[in-house]
Amino acid sequence: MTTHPDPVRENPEAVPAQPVAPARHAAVPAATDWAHGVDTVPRAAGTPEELQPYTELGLADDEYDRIRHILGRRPTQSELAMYSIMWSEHCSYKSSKVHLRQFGEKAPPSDRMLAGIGENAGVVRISDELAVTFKVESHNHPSFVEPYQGAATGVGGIVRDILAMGARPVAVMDPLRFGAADHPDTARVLPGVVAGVGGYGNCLGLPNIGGEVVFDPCYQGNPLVNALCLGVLPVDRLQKKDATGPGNVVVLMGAKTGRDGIGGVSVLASATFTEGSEQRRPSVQVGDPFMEKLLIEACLELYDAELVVGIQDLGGAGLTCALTETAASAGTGMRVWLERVPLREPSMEPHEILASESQERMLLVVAPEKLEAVLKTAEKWGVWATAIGEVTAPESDGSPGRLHITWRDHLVVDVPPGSLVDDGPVYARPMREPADLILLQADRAETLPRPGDPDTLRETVLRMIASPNLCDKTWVTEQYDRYVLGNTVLAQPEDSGVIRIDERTGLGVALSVDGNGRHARLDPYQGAKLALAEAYRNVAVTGATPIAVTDCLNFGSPEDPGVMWQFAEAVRGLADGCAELGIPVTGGNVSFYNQTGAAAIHPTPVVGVLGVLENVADRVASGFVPRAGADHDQLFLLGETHVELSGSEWAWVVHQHLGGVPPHVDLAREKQLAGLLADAARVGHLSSAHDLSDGGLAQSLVESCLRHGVGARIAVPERFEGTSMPFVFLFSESAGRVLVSVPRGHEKAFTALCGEHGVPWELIGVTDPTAGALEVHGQFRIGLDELREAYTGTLPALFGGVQPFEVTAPAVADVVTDEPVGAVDPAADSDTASGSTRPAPRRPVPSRRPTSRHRPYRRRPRPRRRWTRPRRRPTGRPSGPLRRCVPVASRQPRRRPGSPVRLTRRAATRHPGRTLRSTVTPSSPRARRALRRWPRPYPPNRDRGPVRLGPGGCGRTRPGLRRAGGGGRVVVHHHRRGGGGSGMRVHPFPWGEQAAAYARRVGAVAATGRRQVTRDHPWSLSPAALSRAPVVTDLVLPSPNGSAISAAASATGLPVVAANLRNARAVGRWLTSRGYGSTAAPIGVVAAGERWPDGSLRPSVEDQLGAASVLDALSGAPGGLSVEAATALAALASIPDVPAAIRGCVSGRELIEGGFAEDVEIAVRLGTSDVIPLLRQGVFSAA
Amino acid sequence: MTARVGVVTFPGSLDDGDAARAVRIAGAEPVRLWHGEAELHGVDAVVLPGGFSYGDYLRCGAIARFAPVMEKIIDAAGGGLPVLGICNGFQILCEAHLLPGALTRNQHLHFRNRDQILRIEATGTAWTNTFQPGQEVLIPVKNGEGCYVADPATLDQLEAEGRVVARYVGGNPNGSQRDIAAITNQAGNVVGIMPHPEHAVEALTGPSLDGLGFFTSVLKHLVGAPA
Repeated sequence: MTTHPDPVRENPEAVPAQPVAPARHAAVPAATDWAHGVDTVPRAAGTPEELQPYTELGLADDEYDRIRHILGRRPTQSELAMYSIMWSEHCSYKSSKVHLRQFGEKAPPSDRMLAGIGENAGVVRISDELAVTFKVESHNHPSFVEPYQGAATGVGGIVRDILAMGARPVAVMDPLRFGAADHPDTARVLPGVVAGVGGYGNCLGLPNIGGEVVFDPCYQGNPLVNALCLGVLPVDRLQKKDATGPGNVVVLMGAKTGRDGIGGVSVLASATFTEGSEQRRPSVQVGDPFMEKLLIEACLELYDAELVVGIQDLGGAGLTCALTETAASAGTGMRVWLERVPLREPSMEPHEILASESQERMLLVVAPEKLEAVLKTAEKWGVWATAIGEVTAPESDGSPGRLHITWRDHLVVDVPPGSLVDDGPVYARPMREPADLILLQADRAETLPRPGDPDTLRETVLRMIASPNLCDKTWVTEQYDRYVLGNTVLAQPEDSGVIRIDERTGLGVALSVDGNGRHARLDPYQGAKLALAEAYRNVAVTGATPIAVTDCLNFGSPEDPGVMWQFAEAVRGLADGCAELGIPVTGGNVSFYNQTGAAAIHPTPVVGVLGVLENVADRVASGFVPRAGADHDQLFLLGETHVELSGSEWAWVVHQHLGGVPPHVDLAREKQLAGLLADAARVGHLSSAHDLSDGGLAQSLVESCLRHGVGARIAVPERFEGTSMPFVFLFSESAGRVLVSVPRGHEKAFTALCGEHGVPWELIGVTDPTAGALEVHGQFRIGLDELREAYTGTLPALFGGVQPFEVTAPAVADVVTDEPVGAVDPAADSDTASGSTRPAPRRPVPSRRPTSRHRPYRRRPRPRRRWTRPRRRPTGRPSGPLRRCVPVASRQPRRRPGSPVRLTRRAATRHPGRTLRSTVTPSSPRARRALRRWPRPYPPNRDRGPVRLGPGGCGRTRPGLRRAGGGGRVVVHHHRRGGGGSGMRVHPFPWGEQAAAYARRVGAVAATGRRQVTRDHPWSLSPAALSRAPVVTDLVLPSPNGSAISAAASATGLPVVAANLRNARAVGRWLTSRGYGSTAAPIGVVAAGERWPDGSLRPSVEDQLGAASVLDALSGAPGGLSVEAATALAALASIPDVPAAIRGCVSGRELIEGGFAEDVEIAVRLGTSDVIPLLRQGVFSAA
Repeated sequence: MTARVGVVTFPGSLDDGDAARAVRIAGAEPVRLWHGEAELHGVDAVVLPGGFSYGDYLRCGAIARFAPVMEKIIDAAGGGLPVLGICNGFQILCEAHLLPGALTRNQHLHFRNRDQILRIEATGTAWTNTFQPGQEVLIPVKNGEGCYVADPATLDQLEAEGRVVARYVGGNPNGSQRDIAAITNQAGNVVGIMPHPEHAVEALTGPSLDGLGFFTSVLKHLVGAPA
């Protein structure tokens, strides 16, 4: 490979004035009359009326008009391509800009920051001579389509950002999020992503020092692949991207340009050409880490020899972005000969060259006299370098210069570069708190049943450490090189990665990235702060002082007001948090449109915090330290533990529950804690320090024990004694806590230091190097081997044991007999049961005696066979509060204590439920009669503890509580006013003043309160009034609770039907006729209720009765009945005269007394309506 | 005069800096050698470091073996120059036929990085003479193509001649035949090792200091060797 000997560059005059059109164009003669197949500036000026496919390129009408206004003509094909990508959300931050400003506005003053937001990456000074730069970025969508290359090029992209700042990249981290761990598609995506991150990073010679692997069904169709890179530079080597100095040469260095990643732009082509578009189909971006390695070395050599004036990496938007940004930031113009760009495919056209996102390229601005030296360096490293243009002067009036791009002597682009970079659209998009949030927050995990005895607690510990999010991630991290460059002081599974920067002085940095989508879902403001607090704490536990922040904000569609609200709140939280902690956000990345269909991912702000260690030799690690003999360290818990279980890993793993408000975050406390840890580390008070977060104290204890095989003995503090309080002590996820071990003799000094810093501490036990177990006094004792087996087995079982000698003939027999009992319900899944007798596919490996450490892997082979039958609904699992309701229909597998993978894949996916602590005991003869119509799934059996309720069935979890919802195949939402009559489309909407505005936007009429009816606006919540008002096609029906339930229910992806006393029978028939109500297609029925003015729920008896009438109408359906359903039915059965009861109940009387007796009469006309209002895309209309 | 140990940088070499650091810590002077120069600058020994030379897109080491500097190294190795090939360097030595056999894709098909126990079995080589026979050492292993293979006759010959320098203990990380982690040539001056001794030379960054022995061995060898 040599420097590109470009004939054009050698002799620009040699370019034929009338180049021969590529042969391909001959195949499509009639499709274009464009001269030479290229749309030139003069041609654009002459054909203003020509239609352009701007909408297909994602530009709005007004955006297109604006381009025409800027140019004073229509854009050429190339210009249109450039504007469409530069003004895309990805490049222009048009939806996020207005919010991201806060990072600058609220940033605390910092004398360390050398470059901040707006640059390729933030740069912070860590000593007089040295600075570091770091940034985290997303590559989510490509990684879902092509996991290996998507992840690989994600790493490549962020590394070039770091390189462009003048830094040598020295480490990477990878926060990854996937769908459910046991989902078959996760088995496709995760191994590919991990191999891609490893493949690129390893080949580049960058140690991978940490990251995250998180599983949650919300990421099923949209995994999050974020990558962080850290670089180091001498302070005076900081590079700029400005293309200053007219006459300077613009050099493109690195890989050749191909048709990669020009998806959007290919539309342009296909709008013009009807044939041959296949051959233009953009290929997936393919990373070439070797080329990037050469590029890095070449660039660093150029920096050190001071050969470049400006430099910019080519990432998203490729050459377009690099050319315009370098010119715009310097205010200069640029003249580019596009045909000089070395191409992988010679037939590429100008707009394709400009939009290509081929990897491993950099754009340099070089003084002419240094060009030869630059080309020589490139040649030394074997990378292409080609002079493609030159910097031109600003206009004579001082205004910025223009970007002129020619292609084979045709002017194809003539734009002011700043118009692409800075004048893009900025949107203050509408925001609205998601309708289901109140509901979600009210559904607190603190009310869930907790383990109350030592045996259950022991079992919970084992179950939790084996759960996918908490288990050992070695399967992943072993695929990354953490040693290369020889400066890795700490790497995963430590809380932070620590890199030595200066070998001479020991100066180093600590880095951690954290995020918790569940917390942010429950409260994006607090969730962002919690992520920040966790990353900050993770850095602090190593003894480092946090100094800077980077973030990757992963959200759904900004066009969804709910998502936009989440985004705004998260940004506000992060900006406030950084201000409070006194550390600035130095840069980051926003990733929108992370959703599958209408379902957005949990808002997931991922926060990276960087800290400085004056001497990395002082760093503190997370594992308990082995000591000779019986010597031990004392264990202190720093911070305060509260009953905070909402959004916790426990609530999710054990109850599949997400609700309530996330733990309280106190950043002042985090700051005190960080100060304490840094001081304590410096004077050697700490043997180990480990952050408490997901999984609480129990998780941290287990991890610290297993790190070096050192056991511990723990005493539960007095205030956590009794019933379920030891559980709270071990599993609460209160923030601001750290587990430290303190060597003997240091206790007094350490606790005094705690006092000085104002950090609460508690002595909770001692390490015990000889015990070989984790013991919680009075509760349980678990051997380290048992802990390790549970902790390490999960990922190999899910993604394939990577032990080379794992399967031998006898081992297969083990597989069958060792299958966790009840992991599959044989009665329900006969094909699965028979499948389990089939031996697992064998690998062609040499037979060899397996060592004992291989055993765990053999015992739980990856049960691929369970997926042999196509699943009907791979995605669309209920989310949010409705997840809670499934227990009624769940077939929960029996678990063997200690077996780490607990949920059967199929059952868990279908019914992520929990068992209920109640039994069916009909009290009255009438109720009994009513219930007899239903098959009884299980006999009541108090001895077995929680009774599992049987297949099918429907109902509410707890009468009168908001958490009601359905978890089955259909959700019936009972409301007194099911819309949909008269062919009307009814939009449920939260109660409030925004209803009218919303109605105007969607072209509907908003119903008002009963008493607000006017002659001009006769539409109200009163059915009577509504029946008299003119018929409208679209009605917005505000309601305090019904809209929230509708929104939450529809988010499950299940059909949602509105029912009331009037149409209950029809709904029942409709459901039965469609096969709902069976084991495979259970039904959830929700009684809506009202809200009191303070927002709390006002359960209403009429809604209960309405729900029960639907159940009544379903009698004879084959499924069973939940306790809630049975109770509701029993209530209905106990009322002799339903209309009379409704007239006599409080809300009935209120209405009658308020002059709305007619409404009540309409409501009680039982069975008079046949309308089935079905919710589709947020609107009820007749089925 | 301190010994001068050359460390070659190929395009795509990654652990060259670490190898140089290890040489320095062991007390020798590291000399950086460039793949494109057929010049050894009078070094007393050479380390071929780990990495992905030429991206390893072809067989690992298959291109690097043709680098100009390799001609000199092959010649000098024939004359007794101590040469240590680590990871990619081991692969290059096999491709250059200075050592028999080949390194193939890990049997489990994954890159694997872990701290690995090795048993040193040949202590007569230029690079292992400070170890005790049978001594167990802890050295990081990290490779995607570290599975050593050779035909049975070659393996038998290696065993018979005591040329298996180190074996994996407590689990074979890549499926190497007969757990082979390192081998040597007949003269004992050329050693190829898959794990990375240069990453076990500092307490702060490595799992042990056991890797240092390889570099101090060559110094001992050079002192004892006739000049």
